[in-house]
Amino acid sequence: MAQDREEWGTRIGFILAATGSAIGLGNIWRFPYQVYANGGGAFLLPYLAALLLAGIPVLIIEIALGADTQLTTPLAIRKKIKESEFIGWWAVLNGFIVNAYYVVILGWAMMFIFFSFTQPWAGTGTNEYFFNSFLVSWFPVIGVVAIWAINYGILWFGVSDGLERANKLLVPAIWILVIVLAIRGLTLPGGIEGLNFYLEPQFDQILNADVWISAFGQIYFTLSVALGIMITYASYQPEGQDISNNAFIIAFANTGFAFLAGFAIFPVLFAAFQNPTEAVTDGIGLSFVVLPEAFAKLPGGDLTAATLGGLFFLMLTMAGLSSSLSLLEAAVGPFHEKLDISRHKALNTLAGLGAIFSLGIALEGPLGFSPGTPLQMLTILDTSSATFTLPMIAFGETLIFAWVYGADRIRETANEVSDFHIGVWFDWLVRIVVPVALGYSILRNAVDQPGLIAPFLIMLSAVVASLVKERRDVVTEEVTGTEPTDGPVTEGGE
Amino acid sequence: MAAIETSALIMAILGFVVLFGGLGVALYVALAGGFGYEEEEAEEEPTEPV
Repeated sequence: MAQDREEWGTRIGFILAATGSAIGLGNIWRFPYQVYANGGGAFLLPYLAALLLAGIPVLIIEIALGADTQLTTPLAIRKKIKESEFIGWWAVLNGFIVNAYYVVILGWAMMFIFFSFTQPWAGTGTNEYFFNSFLVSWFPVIGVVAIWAINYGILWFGVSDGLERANKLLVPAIWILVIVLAIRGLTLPGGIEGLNFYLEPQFDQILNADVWISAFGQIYFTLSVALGIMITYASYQPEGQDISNNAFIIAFANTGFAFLAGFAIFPVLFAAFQNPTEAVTDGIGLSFVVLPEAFAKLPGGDLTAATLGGLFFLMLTMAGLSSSLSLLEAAVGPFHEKLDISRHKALNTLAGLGAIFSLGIALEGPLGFSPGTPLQMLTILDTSSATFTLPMIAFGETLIFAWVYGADRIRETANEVSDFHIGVWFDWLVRIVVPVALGYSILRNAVDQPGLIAPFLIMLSAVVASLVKERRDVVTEEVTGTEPTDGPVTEGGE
Repeated sequence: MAAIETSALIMAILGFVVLFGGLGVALYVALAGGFGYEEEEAEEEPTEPV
C-alpha cells in the first residue's frame, strides 16, 4: 500500500473541492431547465424532498466510508465488504469515461470564452456556426489539449498543493460570476418576466409522478455520488473529521448554486428574444447555441455581448474544470494505492489514456467519422455512462452499505465525529427510499433499453452474493467464535 | 418593466431561505468548530492497519 498518502491542508479545502466537484455543467445548463419544465417554482418542493431524503443520505454514506477507512473508493469498499470491491472500480471506470467527454465540452466552453469577443457566428447564426463550422473544425481539439494540460498540471502538484489550491480559486470565482450574471440578468429590460417564467409555481405538477422522478434523477447526477469521487475526496482528510455537516454544506452549496444559475439564464433569454419560450432548452443547445445568440441581441451592443458571453463561458469552464479534476483524481488515487505506484506514474498513465480518449471524441467532427452528426460518440457515451450506468452503481452501492454492511453502522460512524447527530430515520431512508427511487429509475430506463437488464441483474446478483456471504460469516462467527478468514471485513474490533 | 408575480416571489424567497439558510446554518456550526485540522492533528494517535 502506498505510504506517501496525501491530505487536504484544511477542512475548508476539502469542502471547497467537494463542492467544486458537485457544481458542474449540470448546475448551469440542466437544473434551471428542469425547474422550468417540471412545474416552475413548484419543482423546488419535490427537489428539496429528493435532496433531503435521497441525496444527502447517499452523500453521508460516501463521506463516512472515505473518512472512516482513509482509503480511496474501491479499497474503501473492499475494506468493508471484500466481495464488493468491483463496485468501486466500476464507479472509477464510469467516472473516467464521463471525464473523457466532459473535457471535450469544457474545451468548447474555453474556446467560446475567446469567441465571445470575436463573434465568429455573426454572419451565419449560432446554430449553423456551432454544428456545421465549429464542431468540424480543429478548435475542439485545441480545447481538449488545453483542458487536459490544465488538469494534468494541477494534479501534478498533488492534493493539497494542486487540487486544494485550484479549488480555493475556482469555487469562489464561479460564485462571484453567477452572482454578477444573475444581477445583470435581473436588471435587464424583460429580466423580471424571465424570473416569473422560471419560478411561477404550477402546483398541480406536484401530483405528477414524472416530476418526482425528475427530481430524484437530478439529485444523483448533481452531487457527484457513485462516481468514486466523494469517497476518495473524504479519505484525504485526517482521521476523525466531521461527516454529516460536511455533507449538508456540500449539498446545500451545490443546490444553491444551481438555483442561482436560473436567475442568470432565464432573464437573459427573456430580454433577448421576442418569443423566449421557443428558445428555452437545456444542455449543449442552451449553452453553445441559444445563449450566445441571446447575448448578441441584448441592448448594449458588441461590448455587452462580449462581456456577458465571456463571463458566462468562463463560469462554465471553471465550474466544469473543478468537476473534471475530481473525476481524474477519483481514478488516480485508487490506481496509486492499489498498484502501489507513485502518484505521478498513475497520473501520467491515466491522463495520457484520458487525453487519447477525449481526442478521439473531439476528432469525430474534423476527421468526419460520422458525417452530419459530429456529436454521435459523445451522445452515446453520455447516455450510457450518466443516464444508465450511474444509477446502477448508486443502487448497488446503497444496497450493499444499507443492507449488507448496515445503515446503523454508517450512522454510528458519522455520529461519532460529526457536528450534529443523525437519527434512525437515516437507516430507513438508505434502506428503503433511496433503493426504491433508484430501482424505479433503472427499471424505467430498462423499459426503453432492454439491454440494460443484463448488467442490472449482474449487479443485483453480486449484491445478493455479498449479502449471503456476510450472513454466512456472521453465523460462522457466532457458532465457532472465530472471525471469518476470507470475506467481508466485519470490523468487529473497531 | 414587468412586475414580479407574487407566487414567483414566494418561491424565490422559499428557495433562498431553505438553500442558503441551510447552508448558512451548516457553515455556522462548522465555523464554530474551526475550519483547520491543526487541533485534531495534535490529538491524533497512530492507528493499526486492518
